[in-house]
Amino acid sequence: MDDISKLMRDQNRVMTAMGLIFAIWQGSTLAREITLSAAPQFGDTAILYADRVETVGGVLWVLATIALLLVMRRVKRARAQDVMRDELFRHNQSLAMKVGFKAMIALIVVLVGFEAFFELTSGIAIRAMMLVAVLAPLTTFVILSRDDSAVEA
Amino acid sequence: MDKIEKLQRNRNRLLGIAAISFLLWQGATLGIDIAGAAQWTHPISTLVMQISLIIGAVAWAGAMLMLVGYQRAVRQAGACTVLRDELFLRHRTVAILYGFTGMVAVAALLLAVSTFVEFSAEIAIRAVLISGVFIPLVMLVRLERKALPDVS
Repeated sequence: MDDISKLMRDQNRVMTAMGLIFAIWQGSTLAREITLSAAPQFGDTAILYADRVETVGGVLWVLATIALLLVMRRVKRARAQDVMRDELFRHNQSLAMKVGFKAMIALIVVLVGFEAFFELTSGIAIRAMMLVAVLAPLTTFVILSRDDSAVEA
Repeated sequence: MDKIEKLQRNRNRLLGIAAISFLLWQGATLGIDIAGAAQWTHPISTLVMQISLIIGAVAWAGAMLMLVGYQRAVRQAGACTVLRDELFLRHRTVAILYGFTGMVAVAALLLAVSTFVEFSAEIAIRAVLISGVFIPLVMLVRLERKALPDVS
């Protein structure tokens, strides 16, 4: 495996980790808000667990961001920006954003439907949107990059 | 001006009308929701918002009907592939990227605001929806207009 492939693999790994950490971190906050709204009797337990997961998630998110910065530094040192940010990368990036846009519109439709039958708080709606806005493009991008790497290999 | 260019200009006009009418319609609804939540009663402002809502909703419905008519005209002219060329597809992608960025920006702004002010989920959903429809439409019209030659 050459340096570029290694860097791309590491970048994908860090991005996958960031996606997972963000899902756990923000997902726990969303779960707490849903529990507080739908089943207030479990509110204390939800707050207790969510606070712990939030703290761990926050710390892990910072670590993952540092890891991403380190990968970027390695890319810069190897002078591999142009090779890694090629046409295919840009194509994957815009495709991932398109998927993110469609996912957001789909989520809004779902939220409008939910809102008609259940009481939703703004916190639940916004957090769900933030989760989808980050996870949908990130996951799509990682999947597309992995597929391309597999084809190259 | 040839037939294709005329159709392109008509499409831009229609999309522009759709964008503005959607903003009027949903913006007024959002304004009414916010005024209701803040218990802010100002008869003239309420009347203006209600009029905007009605005009916007009617114009949106009209724009959608005109879009159906436009599509028929495109089909009759056999110009589907010419109008959906590489440049148009590129513009559409760029417009969607702007729309997505706008939606994320509005959601992030709302998240920050929600820590200080309490508001309903309906307001949040509507605000993000407006940015998700209005921004891509306006960007598409702008990019397409730039690509068209000047009539003068």
